[in-house]
Amino acid sequence: MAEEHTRSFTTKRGEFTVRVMQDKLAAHAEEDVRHAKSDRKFNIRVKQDDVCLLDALAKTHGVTRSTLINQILHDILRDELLSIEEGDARVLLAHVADLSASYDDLSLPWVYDALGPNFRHMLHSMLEYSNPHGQPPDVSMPAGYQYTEEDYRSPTYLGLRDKLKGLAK
Amino acid sequence: MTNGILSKLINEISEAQADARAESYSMVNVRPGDKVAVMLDLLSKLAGKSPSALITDEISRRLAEYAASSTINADAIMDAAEHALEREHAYGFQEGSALDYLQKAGILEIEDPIKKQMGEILISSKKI
Repeated sequence: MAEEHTRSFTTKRGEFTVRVMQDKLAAHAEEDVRHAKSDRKFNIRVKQDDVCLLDALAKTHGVTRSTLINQILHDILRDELLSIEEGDARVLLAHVADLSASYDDLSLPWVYDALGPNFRHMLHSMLEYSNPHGQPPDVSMPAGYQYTEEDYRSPTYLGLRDKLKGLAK
Repeated sequence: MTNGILSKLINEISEAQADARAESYSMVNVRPGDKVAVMLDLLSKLAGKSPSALITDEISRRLAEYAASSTINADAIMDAAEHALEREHAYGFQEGSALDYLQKAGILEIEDPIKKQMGEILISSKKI
């Protein structure tokens, strides 16, 4: 079996042998199956007049009926989630749902929807103070010292900031 | 008096049609993305209802909102209304359907043959 995944070839620099480790490949394959896109189907009861409108709107927008239903379903579920006023309960529900999902790298998980305003607050805080807590940076300086970004930003942040400024010019 | 008798008759016909049409559903097979599927599953378990029972009525309302959200959809609404009214015994839209919502919101108006005929009779009787 291992022979099938070993290849030797000669270049100007000499002979190379390339080997694919079968056991590790299998481990990754299992992981891929675990993260494979859900193939779950639902049978939804839809009023006949709604089917007429779904089909007409789908045709207008150049999408399938299924795509349009999916979009409507997503909006319904997101609004249900956001209707929970208590942030901790909202995030818990989103997190539990996310645990069952196999997202690809481009998908936004439910917790992102659930955090909504908090996420924006964290984003602002990270950009403003380099921490997610909304607190001014804790730097020990003499009283009256006016600290600058250089006192509390990470070196990577400062370097990247300067590079990005350069790009903007 | 004639007007009252006919109005009652028309109302009864309309109600009977609405009741009959309210039962008309189609089962639509949907294969949503993983994100929608997991939340739909979770909420249906929490609510103790099937996914279908959970969202059937809400779909109609959301569909109406979606349709009403852009003037681009005017022709689609007209096409859907025509298609829905072409069905046998249809004098109006299914109660609680998106088209029904649009009609109740004043976005969509229909003039059915009975009402049209009634109007003509009333106009001609006034002339006499």
